[in-house]
Amino acid sequence: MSGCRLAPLSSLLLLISVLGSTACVNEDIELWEVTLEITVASDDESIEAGPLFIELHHREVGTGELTYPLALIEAFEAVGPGSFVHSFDYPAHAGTGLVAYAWRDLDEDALLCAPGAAEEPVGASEVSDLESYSPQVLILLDHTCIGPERFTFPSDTN
Amino acid sequence: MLCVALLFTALPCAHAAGEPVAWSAISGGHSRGEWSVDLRGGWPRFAARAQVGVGKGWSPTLELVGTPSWRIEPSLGVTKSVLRGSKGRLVLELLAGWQVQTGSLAQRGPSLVARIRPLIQGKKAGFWASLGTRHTVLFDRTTRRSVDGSEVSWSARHRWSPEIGFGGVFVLTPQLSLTVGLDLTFIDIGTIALSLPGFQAGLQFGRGAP
Repeated sequence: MSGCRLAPLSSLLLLISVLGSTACVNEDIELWEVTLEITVASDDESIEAGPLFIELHHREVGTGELTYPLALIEAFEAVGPGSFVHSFDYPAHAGTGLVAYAWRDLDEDALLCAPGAAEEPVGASEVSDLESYSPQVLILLDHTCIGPERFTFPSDTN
Repeated sequence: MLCVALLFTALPCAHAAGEPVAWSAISGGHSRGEWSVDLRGGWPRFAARAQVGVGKGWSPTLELVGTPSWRIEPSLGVTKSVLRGSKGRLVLELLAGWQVQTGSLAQRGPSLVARIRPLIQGKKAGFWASLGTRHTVLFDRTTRRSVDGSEVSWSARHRWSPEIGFGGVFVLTPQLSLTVGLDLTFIDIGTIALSLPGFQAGLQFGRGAP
């Protein structure tokens, strides 16, 4: 019994479709379905559980001389200090590494250290073992009133 | 190219009593056996077209349009004269090809162009116009990875670039003509939304129907 034989026109259309789809990729997006187990802790036992703002950043984006530290992936709210799980799509094509930054909104004004308000604890930590798709990260709220850009995380090239 | 054009003008015309090939070269809708090449340059775009008549106003067309160091659009298609008389003609064309754009806004994908070309022709000069719409599809690939493996999906984006052009054509010989004109191309309406006004001058040569 002979194998499947496509008509010449069908073969041409198939070839065009394959070539077109493989030879003209514009955006090449790679997403990792990551479930992040986040633990936010503080040495100050007086900080009770309450509104917590979390930001997930690439550790760095760009290449060569255009390498730049930190690029926001997403931000969300949680309750802490405490432990919780967050699932998201990590855009592996857009940067390298993952940094988790958190701050405790003590006065519940949704502003970090607004003028005249109390100093609010912040912390950041780099997430390792990202390729396990279920990494764990511990964020210690051991600083106050600084943004994620004030934390430094060595790049792979250093 | 000028030397090639002058060579053709020196050759005896096989169809001296016929219309100048300029009208077909500018708009399309060639008679059977008639062929032409249209070369245009200017700022910011250039264009080259080759056409041959296969009968009943149909002309397969090969075209290359672009902006140097930025965008190039090769296409293959047909033109068809829908109205034709001693004073002018109306030609429709449809071409399919590719679009490649380089630089910081790099993109590439299949492209479809449709144009309508009215022409008013006199004895030695005429007026041409061209209204076109280009549609390009940009394919994106998304790879989703998880503990269960990876999955690839494709999506497509549409880019629309309409264009307008008009100008004059001047018959030098039955096989040779010159054209000048203005054009305006709207790049990627709805996204970049860049408009490129420009001017052009061109040389057309060919042979009438045998």
